[in-house]
Amino acid sequence: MSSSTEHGAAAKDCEYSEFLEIMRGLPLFARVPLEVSKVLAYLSQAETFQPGDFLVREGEHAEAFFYLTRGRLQVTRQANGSAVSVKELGPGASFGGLALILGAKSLYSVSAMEEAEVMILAREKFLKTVQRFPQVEPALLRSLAEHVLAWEERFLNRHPEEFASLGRDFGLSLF
Amino acid sequence: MPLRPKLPEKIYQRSLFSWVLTSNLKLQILLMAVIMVTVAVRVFPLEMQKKIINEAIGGQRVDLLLFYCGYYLVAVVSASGLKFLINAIQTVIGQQSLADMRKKLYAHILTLPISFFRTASPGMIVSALVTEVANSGDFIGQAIAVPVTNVLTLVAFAAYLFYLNPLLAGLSMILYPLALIFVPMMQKRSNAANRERVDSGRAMSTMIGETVAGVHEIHGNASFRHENNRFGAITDQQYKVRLRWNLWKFAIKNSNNFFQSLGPFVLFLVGGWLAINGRFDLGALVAFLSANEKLYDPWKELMEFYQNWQDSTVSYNRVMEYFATDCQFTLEPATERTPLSLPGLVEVKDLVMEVPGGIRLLKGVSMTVEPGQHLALVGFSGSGKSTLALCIAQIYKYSSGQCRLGGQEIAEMAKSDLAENIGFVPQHPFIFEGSIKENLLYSVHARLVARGLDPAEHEPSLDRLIEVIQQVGLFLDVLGFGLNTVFRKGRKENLVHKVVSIRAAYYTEQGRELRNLVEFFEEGRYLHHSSVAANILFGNPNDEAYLPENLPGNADFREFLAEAGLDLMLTELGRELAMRTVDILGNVPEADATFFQQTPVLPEEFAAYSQLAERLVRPDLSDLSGEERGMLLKLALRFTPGLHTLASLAAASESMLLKGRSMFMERIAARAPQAVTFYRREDYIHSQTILDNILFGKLKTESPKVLDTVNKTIIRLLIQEDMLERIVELGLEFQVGTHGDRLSGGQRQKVALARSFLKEPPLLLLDEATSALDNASQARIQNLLDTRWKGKATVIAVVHRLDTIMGYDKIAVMKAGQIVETGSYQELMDRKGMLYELVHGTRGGS
Repeated sequence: MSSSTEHGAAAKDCEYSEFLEIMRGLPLFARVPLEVSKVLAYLSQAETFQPGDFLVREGEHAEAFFYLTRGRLQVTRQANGSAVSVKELGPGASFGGLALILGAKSLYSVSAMEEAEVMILAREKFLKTVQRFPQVEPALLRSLAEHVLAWEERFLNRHPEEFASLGRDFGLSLF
Repeated sequence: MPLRPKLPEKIYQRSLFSWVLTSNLKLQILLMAVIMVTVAVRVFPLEMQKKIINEAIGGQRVDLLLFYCGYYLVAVVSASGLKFLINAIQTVIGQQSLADMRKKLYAHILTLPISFFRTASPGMIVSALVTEVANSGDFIGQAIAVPVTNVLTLVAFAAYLFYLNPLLAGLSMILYPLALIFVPMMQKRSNAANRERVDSGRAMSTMIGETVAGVHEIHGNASFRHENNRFGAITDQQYKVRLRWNLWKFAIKNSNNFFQSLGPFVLFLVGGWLAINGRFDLGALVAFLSANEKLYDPWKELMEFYQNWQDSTVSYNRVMEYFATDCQFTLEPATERTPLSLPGLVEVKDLVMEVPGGIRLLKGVSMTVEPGQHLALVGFSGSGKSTLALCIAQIYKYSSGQCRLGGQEIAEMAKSDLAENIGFVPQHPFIFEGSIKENLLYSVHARLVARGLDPAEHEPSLDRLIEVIQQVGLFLDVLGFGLNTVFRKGRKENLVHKVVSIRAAYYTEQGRELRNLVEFFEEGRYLHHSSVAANILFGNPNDEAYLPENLPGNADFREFLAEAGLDLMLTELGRELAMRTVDILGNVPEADATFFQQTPVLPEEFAAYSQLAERLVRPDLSDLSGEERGMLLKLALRFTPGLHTLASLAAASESMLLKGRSMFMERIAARAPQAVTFYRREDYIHSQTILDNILFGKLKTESPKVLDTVNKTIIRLLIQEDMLERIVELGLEFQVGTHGDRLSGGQRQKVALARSFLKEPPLLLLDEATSALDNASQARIQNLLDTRWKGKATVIAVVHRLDTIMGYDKIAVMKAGQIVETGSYQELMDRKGMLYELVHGTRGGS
């Protein structure tokens, strides 16, 4: 973008450029105009989590979007008094899109298994940006709806038997 | 006072002219008197003129010449002096009335119902109050003076003319009635053309707006010709209208001039003939001509006044039409008294709230909340729970039914009485620009003023403020703000010593844990969480010129940068920062403080850097002016890699800066050893915050959790040194920014809660007042309500998150504008009705 790289003052790729790259590749932000992605990437911050640190706790209000750049995370949920591991996340994984839009309580806990480097976009900053660019909200909503539809279709295709027995709980995309 | 007219009760029904009658009448009377004198003085020189020519020059008498000329001079001097006096009085009257009008209009606007502000644009209100009424103010100042002066002058001159020669006077004035007929006729045409011009101008801007928005379609269809034709049609229409409007305007002006200049023609013809025949003396003819000419000015001024009057009437009426809405409630009781003190008993019966379009948001709600009882209102979004709260808070006016507080019908209560008895925390509380303390005291102050007390004398004590911020969980935040204070050298020296002793104790205690969190001020390392300036200086400036903000203008420092070979690198860095910031934030409308936390550009500097960025596109920086280079250097020196993620420092640049640091140390040691003392564990660093001083370094993260942990561990040491209160007091002075944008959403809610708690009202209304708080803070507030407020004050809380409602005495579940069930938490859960469904997240059916 700038010629100053030749002069060496800001030669390394800065966090902002890195985050912008990441953001452009995420389905949630795919439809967001570039000028807004720039602002969101700029407002994002890197944070390091030590093993055992929680990024999000189950039952607490999720207030940020996370993108894992380094390390491993564990997703757990309480069941019958003990934490059940749901899945592990590696570099490139992201979560918290719903949190950005809704800010509702989290159904899962996410903690670091090893030292983890994370890009964080806080909901408050996200909302301030979105309020200033009215075209963003419909774009996000569309990405979200597509995600929901794709998820349910995939689930139904993968688990035809469960569908028959648990049919009552499906139909999310009918919302 | 005489002449005090009966004014309409509502400000928007007042005519523009009524403001003239309510303006300063003493001044108006004085003005009239001055005008009378002025008019007389104006005619006087004419008579002197005649006498000078006939008696002095004609009779060849020098003594009379000097005598009359003296009179003439006095008359002319006093005429201009009086003219100034008239202008001055006129301005005073106008500006007084304008101020009066602004204050009354502002007071009226404040009382307008909330629904008005939903649709009104702040820009419109601002321009109405700031610019549009200003014209009216000018007009009010002129409203009496101009017409009276000019009409009187006209009459006086006319009378003088008749006195000189009735025949000539009659002839020269025969044309004026014609002007009185023609000018308004033409003015009407001109006004019509003007209105048309405004309309076609709007059509044009709509069309241009469309073109811009749909330009890809135009390019895609190559519909350039079509669009050009469309635009051409509008432009031609605009051209015709403008032409017509301008021609009418000139026609008015010219016909005025024409009627005016016909006067002398008649005079020369008839007057000349009479003079030749010896029936009219020469002096009288000269006086006559002068007087006739002097008719022109007042006539012109009258015409301008007419124009001005029309314009300001139009804009005044437009403003008043805009605000022609009534306050739905009484502000203050009819007779002055201290506000009522009511018990917190809330009785709602068959309450209906209907909005335009016949939609009923509340469909007959009934409930009773006893004093001291706590009620939670729950239900899905749109069920009417907030509407109910807003009706009780008197923000909405209900359509029918009853809603009483302490036996008083809320709709009929004066605002001042209601505000005395309730504390209302809305969903999105508003925080005003100013300090945290000012915001905390907002409600208490308003109440003290309503009671007729001086707020400054009855302010709650610091202990009370600290208690409340502790209760709402704002204490650590405020402490954090306090710890972020920077002391200038020479201020609070006693505190400074204590901080240094805390530093040592803190390091022994927490040193190990801090290592991960803090970047200590170590001499051999580049500090990523300190600015470039601090990295070079690496010390405490004792000389003003070496304060970080003064470095870009410090000639000695600039010289050093050049010698150390750092200036090119820093200018480049500054350019990168300026361009990036402008690229990212240039498109953000109304960017507030949040958007400037991660860039070295300050909000107030953004416009200047936007302009500069346009010139930075060229790779060659050599043609930048010294001032522009200074701007870039300023950014570079503020640059803190750990905070400003939009650029980064190459390793080579870092080592250059480190080398610069030692060069600077040597240079200072040799030249001005007193100017900077380098970082030492035993010294207080005046350029850094209290926290950085205690840590002897900078926190590596901005994460609020880490900040809270650090603050918590510092508290004990602060108590030991008896500093805690002092620091909190500093924190209370923290400036929250416009709309409180330097606070987080949670902090804003906490401030709003504390504001209401400080007031200790008998009824507390919370409309999702804890929605932005984390679980712990929310539980803390709930606990506070349960332990300290239950039985003492009534609480009605609109609750969206159901994990906090167990402690309420009563829960009312709302659905579609009605209360569908009421009871204690346990009762309702046992009943397995609506609340059960809400809590368990099954949304009936699916």
